[in-house]
Amino acid sequence: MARTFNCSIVSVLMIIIPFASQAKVTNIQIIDVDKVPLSNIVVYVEPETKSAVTKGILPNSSDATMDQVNRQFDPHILVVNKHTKINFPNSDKIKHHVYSFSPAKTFEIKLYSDEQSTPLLFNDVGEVTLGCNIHDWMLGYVYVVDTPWFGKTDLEGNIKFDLPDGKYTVKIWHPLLQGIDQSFTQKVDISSDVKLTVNLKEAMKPKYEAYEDDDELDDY
Amino acid sequence: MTINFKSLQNRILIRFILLLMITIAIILFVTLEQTYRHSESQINKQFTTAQAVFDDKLTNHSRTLYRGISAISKDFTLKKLVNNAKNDPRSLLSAMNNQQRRLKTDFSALLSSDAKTIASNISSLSKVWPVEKISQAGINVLVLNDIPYLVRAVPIRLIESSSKIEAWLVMGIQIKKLINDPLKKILGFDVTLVLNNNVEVSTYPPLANQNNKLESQAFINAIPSKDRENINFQGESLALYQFVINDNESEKLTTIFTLDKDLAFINFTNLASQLIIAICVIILLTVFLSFRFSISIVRPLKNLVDIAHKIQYGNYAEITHDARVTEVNKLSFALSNMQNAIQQREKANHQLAFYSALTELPNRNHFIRTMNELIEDATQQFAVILMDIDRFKEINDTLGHEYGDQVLQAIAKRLDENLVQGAYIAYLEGDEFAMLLPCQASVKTELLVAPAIKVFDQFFEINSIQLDVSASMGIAMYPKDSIKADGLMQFADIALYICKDKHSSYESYNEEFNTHSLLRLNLMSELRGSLENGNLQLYYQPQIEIATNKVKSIECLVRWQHPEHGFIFPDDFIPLAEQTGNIRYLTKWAIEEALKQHNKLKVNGFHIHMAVNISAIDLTDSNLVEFVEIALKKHNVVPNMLMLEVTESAIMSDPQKAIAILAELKNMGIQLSIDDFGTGYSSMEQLKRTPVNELKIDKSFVLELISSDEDAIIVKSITDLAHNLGLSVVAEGVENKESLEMLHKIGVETAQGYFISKAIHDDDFLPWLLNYENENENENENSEQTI
Repeated sequence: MARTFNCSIVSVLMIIIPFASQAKVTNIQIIDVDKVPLSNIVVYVEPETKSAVTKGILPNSSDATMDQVNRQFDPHILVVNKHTKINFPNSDKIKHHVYSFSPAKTFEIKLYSDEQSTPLLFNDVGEVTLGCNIHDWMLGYVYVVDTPWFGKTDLEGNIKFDLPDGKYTVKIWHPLLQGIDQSFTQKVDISSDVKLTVNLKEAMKPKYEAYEDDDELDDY
Repeated sequence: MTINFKSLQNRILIRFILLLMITIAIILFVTLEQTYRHSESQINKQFTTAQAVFDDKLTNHSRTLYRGISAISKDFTLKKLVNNAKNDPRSLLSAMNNQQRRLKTDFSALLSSDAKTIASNISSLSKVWPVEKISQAGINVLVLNDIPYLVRAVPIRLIESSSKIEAWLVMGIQIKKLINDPLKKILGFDVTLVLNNNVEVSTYPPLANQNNKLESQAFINAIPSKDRENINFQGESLALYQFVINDNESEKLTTIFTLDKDLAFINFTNLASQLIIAICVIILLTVFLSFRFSISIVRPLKNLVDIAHKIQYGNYAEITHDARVTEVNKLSFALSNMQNAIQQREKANHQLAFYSALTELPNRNHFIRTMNELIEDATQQFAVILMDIDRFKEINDTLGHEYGDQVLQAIAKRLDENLVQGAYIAYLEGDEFAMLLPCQASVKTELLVAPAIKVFDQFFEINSIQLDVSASMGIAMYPKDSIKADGLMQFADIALYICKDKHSSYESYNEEFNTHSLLRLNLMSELRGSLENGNLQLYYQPQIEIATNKVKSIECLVRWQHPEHGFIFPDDFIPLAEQTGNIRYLTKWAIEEALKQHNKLKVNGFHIHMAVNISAIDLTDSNLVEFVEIALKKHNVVPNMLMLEVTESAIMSDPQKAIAILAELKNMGIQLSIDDFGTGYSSMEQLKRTPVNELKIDKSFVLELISSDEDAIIVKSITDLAHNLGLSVVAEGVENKESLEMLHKIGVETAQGYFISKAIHDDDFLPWLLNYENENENENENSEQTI
């Protein structure tokens, strides 16, 4: 495993464009093994020093919202900086029972509808998987990071960051990423505009629905 | 009881039955075989169907189990407890027990995502659970603590739609709980579950009690290696089918279906017994029919056999024909034809045996038989008449035998037509007829024979020749003369003989005839016997050459020394022998004896001619020449040493035939002499033609030769005549020296008579001859000396 990990580092293509400026635009693109750009991949950049963060923009992050629309979590993946309060409004006319057993945040909002629930504070970094006790198919993720620079790739698989000069570590996350890709890290030194392309080592996991619900009616 | 296998009836029957049994055996075999196969395939189908049902049952249980635990796995409370398992395993286990109770399963276990036990109410599970396998659909069997369970595992996901598996929930049902009577009813078989050579559970009654280890072990031992086989278990025959329901090598779980074979094959058994009953009926029916059939052939055959037996004993009967069987019908017709043919032939034989073909009258046999019947009857007196046609020989000789036969036929016809009522007429042989006339003893003979004599009153006209025929009749009366058939025949014969002698037309038997006639008749009957037993002998009278006094030849003369009547003269029995025809045997015997004597003398150095007399009868015997030829060869005698003497009268009776036979004899080289020359009436013409070598002057001319000039002249004339014809002369009856000398003067070559010697017995002849020769020699010497 360790060897494969090393290989992945080598495989990262990095183009550093020298540019004398205080904030440099960093563009990161994620493409899969088939060279197809991947959207909706969580990408976050952690500074080497906390001071950078404090020097950085938006030290007081605002609240986030994980809505439930048409018996689905919306958004499917919500990335937040830690210490963010997240609202779980219910846009459906039926009740939901949102819960999480994830270590980063274990909670349960029993049978509610419409009413504005109390926002929950996410203080721990990590993955929080959300489910609804009365709608098994509902699945949502909150990914808590400890950096103000995070986001999800757009339809072209791109994400842009304005980063102050300095040293950073680029990480990616997605529930369907294979382990090797999940643990991807890339150190970058920002002194000019940087264009970074991350090639996934493996194909993503299939969506769970593919092998869910094997009720044995196909025997008949 | 023994069975006759050669009898047609039994053979048919046995073959029928045999054929039938073979046919039935084949049909039975094929039917039962097919039925058995069908039953077998039916039961096999049932087994596979039952296996499918059984599988389905277990699958359903498995599915139910899955649904239950699947629902439980989504239970939020359980998820909470699972999430908190490390801190509070007791609550988790308690909740799981609760769920287990709800589902009525037999154990439950919660495993980590890497399949290790987190919480469980079943012990001894340190190992990793085969969750991959037991989470699959279908029948999953796990043996835990030696108990087989039907198990299912489902993953527990804290977030249901997440791919992340937090834990595994496993539950199981003891399989033996599923093996029960309802299942048995559905499957139609007893079900036995065997785990590693132990009966786990069974619906089969003998194994149902789990405490009965012995039975279970016996059953285990009875399990065959094949999937499908019929076995015997404790006296019961079972159809058995087995299959393995888990493929775990160390723990083999086998399901066994069994069914009482009688139930499995119940149709087969019924069929077999019904078939056997049907076959028995068919066999009985067939035996009955074939028996009937064979009887229809055999009964007519038996009837025919009976008829054939009857035919054997001469019982002829109408044969009825049975047209039902062609062959039998043909046989009966053949038998019928045979019977007819036999009857006809019998008739013909009877005709031949008892009737004369010539005259169509009964023959001698029939005559004797009829007479015997009358005698046996003893109520009827009758006369036996023997009739002889006079001079019939002449008719034959002059007009031919064929003509003679026609005469006999005409006489027979006339006799048959004219005889009185009740008369019986037969034709014996030759020219002899015989009659039986019923009559009183007192009847006059002339009245008796009148109808028979009348038959000959008118002439017979045959082939345009009118012929006067007369007959002689001898009559004997029953019971006056004799009460026996042969006696009557003999007496009638004697009477006939007397009648012939007297030249009368009929003669009744008279006792006076008897002695003389009987003696003569007896003599005749004894003559041939005497020839054989040596009572007849040849005597030898020498003939000398007058010129030399030497014995040149000897005449052989027959003498009969009768043991009762003493010496019988040839003059007495020779004519009788000629009459009866016995003379032929006598002549032949004499020739043979003469040749023997010749050889006897030849041995002693004498070559002497042997002269044998032959009679007129011999000259009618065409057999004579052949006999003489054979006899000469047999005794190895030169023909000219034999001389046959024949009388003039013998030649005269049938000159043509006699001369022909004499010529043949002469050609053979035999010497011929005319005996008693001068007493007959030979013509010169006849004498000239007769092929003889010698004339023998009758002794009547020689006896008185000295005293009678006439005799001397006759002898002289005959001698001259003979010499002129080239014949030599013998004189017999030379009784003195003077006669001999005179004969010598006359020129007679040979002399014979008492002066030389009388006829000498065989035993004495050779001594006499030796003596004579001796004396003769001395005399010659003397005379020579005298000269």
